[in-house]
Order: sequence, then structure tokens, then C-alpha cells
Amino acid sequence: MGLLSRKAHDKAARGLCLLITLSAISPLIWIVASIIANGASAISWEFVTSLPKPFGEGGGGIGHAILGTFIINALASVWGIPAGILTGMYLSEYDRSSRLGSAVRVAVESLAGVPSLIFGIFAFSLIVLAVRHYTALAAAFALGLMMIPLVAKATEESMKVVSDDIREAAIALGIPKWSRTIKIVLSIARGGVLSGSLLAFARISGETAPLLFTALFSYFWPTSLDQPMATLQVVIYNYALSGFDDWILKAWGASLLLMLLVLSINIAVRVSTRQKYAEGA
Amino acid sequence: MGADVELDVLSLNAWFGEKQALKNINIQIPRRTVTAVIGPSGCGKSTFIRCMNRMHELIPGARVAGKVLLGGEDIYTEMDAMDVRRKVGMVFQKPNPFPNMSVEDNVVAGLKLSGGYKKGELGRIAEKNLRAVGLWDEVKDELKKSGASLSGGQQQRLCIARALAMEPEVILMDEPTSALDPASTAKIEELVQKLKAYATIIIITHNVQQAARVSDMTCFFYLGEVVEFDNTKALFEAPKNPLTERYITGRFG
Amino acid sequence: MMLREPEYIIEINEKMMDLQGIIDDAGDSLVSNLEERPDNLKDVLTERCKEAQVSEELIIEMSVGALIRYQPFASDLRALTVAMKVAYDLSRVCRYIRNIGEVMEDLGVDARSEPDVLSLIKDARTMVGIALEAYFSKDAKLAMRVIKDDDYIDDRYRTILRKYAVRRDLPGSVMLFIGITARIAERMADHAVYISQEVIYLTTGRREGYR
Repeated sequence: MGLLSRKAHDKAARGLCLLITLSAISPLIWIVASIIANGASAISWEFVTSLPKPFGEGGGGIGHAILGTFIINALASVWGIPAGILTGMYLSEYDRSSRLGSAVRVAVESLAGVPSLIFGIFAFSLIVLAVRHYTALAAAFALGLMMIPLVAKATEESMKVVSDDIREAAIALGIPKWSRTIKIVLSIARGGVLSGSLLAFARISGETAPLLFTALFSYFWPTSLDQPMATLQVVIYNYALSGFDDWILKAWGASLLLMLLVLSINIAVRVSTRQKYAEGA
Repeated sequence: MGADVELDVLSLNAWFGEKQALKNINIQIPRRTVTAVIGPSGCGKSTFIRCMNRMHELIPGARVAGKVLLGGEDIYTEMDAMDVRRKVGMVFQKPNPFPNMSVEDNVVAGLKLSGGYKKGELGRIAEKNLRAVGLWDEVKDELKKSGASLSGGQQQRLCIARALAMEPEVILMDEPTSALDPASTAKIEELVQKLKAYATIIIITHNVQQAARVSDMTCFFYLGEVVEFDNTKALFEAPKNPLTERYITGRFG
Repeated sequence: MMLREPEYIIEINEKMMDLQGIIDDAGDSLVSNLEERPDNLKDVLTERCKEAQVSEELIIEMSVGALIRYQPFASDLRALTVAMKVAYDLSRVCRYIRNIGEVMEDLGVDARSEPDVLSLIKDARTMVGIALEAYFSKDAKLAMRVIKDDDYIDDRYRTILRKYAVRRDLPGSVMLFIGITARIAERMADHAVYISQEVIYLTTGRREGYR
């Protein structure tokens, strides 16, 4: 093969790769672009802070859904993240090789692959049916459950990476196991744990199916946790299918807000991990 | 003799699973001296010192039999493992300061994390121990920087300060200078003799010259047994055992 | 317990053998019955002493060099410190031989005509020879013999002094010669003892007695 022909082949291969990559990310670009294009006009102060107005009337907003999303996500994190961290800690520090440890690891990994709908149905049968009404608590339970495998995995991996030299140093000082696990190993691993938690948070922000079985929807400001609650995801679902132009526009607006939330979390995680490596952890 | 013995090792045996690493060790380490432990690779030196602070038993499948008396108490049957490690500190071959803590916090990490200190005291304790290892002047303006930001030699001295802060009876050192450059090695060798004032030192070294430089007593291990244990000058001038002679004159292998 | 000797010690001992040759030559010049006594005995002996000193200094140089380069321990270390001491002892022995020659010339007395003193000198030389044999073959037993024999030399020295102290019939030069030379011979024997003590230290690591 002559030199010129080799160069030509090289260029062709590179061009092909570029083409395929572009075609793979173009749907993403198209989605983001259309959300921005369609949703931008819906955003306004009123949109973000007020309740929906009745059918037919214009104006109003989805303030209750924004609040609801944050409340449910926060609640889910309050139980999902610590549970995930403790599980990850257990797998990394207390039980690397026993049968129980393997069983837990398998369970965690399987949980990560379960469709979110199942979580919703599980929470539905466990809580909603028992209390006989839709409730945000069930949503928080289901979403928290979904966070556990992600956080546990991130925690376990980050803690495993901590060199055994550090653990030996702590042991040699006579530091008890729980203290060195939390105050030293976990502390060193906190970057990874934080990233994992943020990513888990971003993940649940995108789930709709479990919410349909648990928090359902509402047209009012949330007044208690033990009642149905509106969320951005369900707003989009309902409004997009409604057939009302005004509501469809609002659905675009809600999509834009949700996308901004998820995107900013992902970017924040990327930036913080890059910084960590730049400093030379 | 009794009052002058820091560590009384009686019929100590240790195993890794089926393999016996230490065979019937019987020695008395005198108080406030520097004892060098020498011998070829794999002869049991590391296992021996890890039996002195009960770290050998943490290895899966490891077993220990015999007695080790620290100040008259058996560290295996009469003392709690954590307690033993607070009284018998250790410095490792590769410096391992805690990267998530500042220099100051590293020094007092052992105190802070296992309780038993007065809050306001920590700064003073950190300074005292940093001075003792000759680090104070080098780091006094950088106390809040991460422990891992120091140079290798400084990190190792930080680890020594950290061990010292626990006010142990004994400090074990597992080849503390093998990962360091000659200048840092020299600083630490100088330090070892000074540390005698605070604790009894046991130092493993694969460098026979280093053993001759830093120690008062030398213990020669071979194939899991103590072959000779004597005053350093005597052992290096006229060793009693032919094996010792062969090893220290470099005729082994 | 002796191990294969390092190269640097073998080389030093070769120089030690040269040094032994020098003092043997000097001694022979002094008392040999088989050779013509050279006219310029003093010059010959001075020459030998210079050579001995050069040799001693060379041995010390080589020992210090080996200490620096090899930082040896145990028997290797002892071999070097002993070599330096033995070289010094040998150069002193050479000096004593020269001193005897000087006394002979200065007083005009021929050692060969004084059998008592001659045999003392010969025995002292023999002792040095045996001490060196013990050194080269690392024979502690032989070295112990030399140390014991010194008592015998001391006795003979005292006997000579007592014997000649009361004689009135000999010229003053002869009396002086006998007194001075016997003393020097006894000192030579002492150095043979010192060498032997070093041999014991070399082989066992223990010091027996002091200089």
C-alpha cells in the first residue's frame, strides 16, 4: 500500500468515525434544541411561582410542581443516600469476600437494573394501598430505593480505591474500625460518594413511572407530605397529552426546567471530578 | 534486669496459614534503646514486629502463639488490641499520612479519632511532636496544608510525629527509610537515636550499615529464628554465630 | 569461623610478607654467620628501615582505603585494624635491629663474639617469625605459645643482666653493648607478643591483655 493511499485510508476512517459520532449525538442535540426553542417562551415569573389556572383560562404556572419535585427528591435523598452509603461502606470495608457480602452485592447490582415502574408498583402496593390514598411519602420511598444501588456502587468503588496503606496507618494508631471507616476512608472517598449521590439525584429527577403510582398529581400547593403531590415529570406527562395549546406550551416549559436541572447536575459532577484530578488528589 | 526490659518475648510462634513464619522466639528488648532487626528477605522480621503490635493477627489465616509482655502484661491475653496499638506505635516503609487531613491534624489524628484528649490541647501537642521530629521549622507556616503535600522525607517524619503523639512505650519502624532519598534517610537516622528519649525503638532494616549506624542492640533473624541478639558494637566487631558473620560481611546467597 | 578472605585483605597481606622479608634481611645482616658482615652495616640497616617504613605506610593506606570503600564488619574489619597494628609492630622491630647495629658500630663490638646476647637476639627474631606465622595462618594456638615464651625471654634477659652486672674483667664497651642490646632484644620479643595478641583478637574477637 503506498503512502498516499495509506493517508487517504486514514482520512476516510477518521471521517467515517466523525460521521457516525455526529449521527449518534444529533438526536440529543435535536432534543435539547427543540426543548429550548419550544420551552423558552413559556418561562416567566408567573410560570415558576403560581398555581395552574382552571381550563380555558390562560396564565397560571407550575410552581407547585417545581416545589413538589424538590420536596420528593429531597425526601428520597434523605433516606436513599445514607442507605446507599452505608451499604457501600459495608461492602467495601466490612465484607469483601463472604457469602453474605456476595449476596448483598448481587442484590444491589440487580436493583440497579430493575425498571422504575416496578419500584412504583412496589411502593404502591406497600404504602398507597395500605393508607388508601396517593402520597408523596410513597414516591420518596420508591425513588429513594432507586437511588440506593447507584450510591452504594459509587461509595463502594470510591472507598475501595483508598490505599490499604492508609487503613494500616489508622489501625496502627489504635483507631477503632468505625472511626477510621467514616472519618478517614469515607472522608477520603467523599468526592466519589458525592458524585454518585448527585448522579443518583439526577437519575430520579428523570423518572416518571413510579410517580404515577405514588404521588400522582395535584393542582394545589403541597401542604403535607402524606398526600398526592405534583411533580415536573407528571406535569409534562399530563399537559403534553392534554391537547390544550396553552398546557402543551407549559409542558415544554416544564421540560426545559427539568432538563436544566439534570444537565446542571451532570456538568457540576464533571467539573468537580476534573478539578480533583487536576489538583492531584 | 526485670525493670529494664520493655518487651519480654516468650516462646513466640507465628504462622501464615500452614507456613510457620516465626519459630520459638525468646528475647528481651531493653527499655529506651534502639534495637535493629536485620536478616535476609522473608526471614520473619516484618512478621515479628507485627506480632509486637498485634497487627499480624489481622491477616486472614494468620495465627500467633506465645507471650509478649509489655511492662509485665501480656499483650495478647491481658490487653485489648486497640490499647496495645496505642502503646506500641508503628511507622511504615512507605510514608502514609492521611491525605484528607492537614499537617497539624495528621499529627494528632490518633488522639482525635480514638478519643481521650482535651480539645484546646491539640495545637500544643501537634507543635510539640513536630518539634521533636525536627519538622516544626519546615512546616510551621503550612500547618493547614494537606499532609500529602509534603515531600517524601517530610511525610515520613510527619508519620513519626503522628506515632509519637500517642506517647507510646514502643515505636516499631518497618524499613522507614527504604523509600527515601539519601538526604532524608540521613535526617531520619539522626532522629532515631533521639527518639530513644521518648520510647523504646525497634527498627527493621535491610541495610546492615544503617543498623550499625542507628542502633544500640542488633537482632539477627534467619528463617524465622533469632540467630544472634547482642550489643551492636559487639555484634558488628565480633559476631558469635557464623551465620551472623556471613550475613553482615555480605557473604550470604 | 574464618571465611574466604576478600581480595583487599589478600593484597594487604602480600605487602605484609614483603615487610617480613625486609626485616628478615635486616636481621640477617646483623647476625648471620654465613654471610660477610657488610662494612657499612649502619647504612644498610638504615636503608632497610626506610623500606620498612614505606611498607608500613603503604599497608596503612591500603587498610584505610578498604575501610572507606567497603565499610566492613566483623572479621573483615578486624583484619584491617590488625594489619595496621602488625605493620607498625614490624617497623618497630626493624628499628630495633637498626639500633643494635648502631650500638655495635658506635661501640666497636661485634655481636657474633657475645654468645649470650647473640642467642637472645636470635630467639627474639624467631619469636617474631613465629608470631608472623600465626598471623598469616590465623593460628591462635601458635600465638598463645609466643605469648607464653615471652616469660622465658624475660627470664633470660634478667639472668644476663645479673650475670654481667658483677663482672669486672670486661671492657666498658662490651658491658654497655651487652646491657643495651639485651634490652633491645627483649623489646623485640615484646613486639612479637603484641603481634600475637592481635592474632588472637583477629581470630576470636577477644582482647587478651593490654600493651
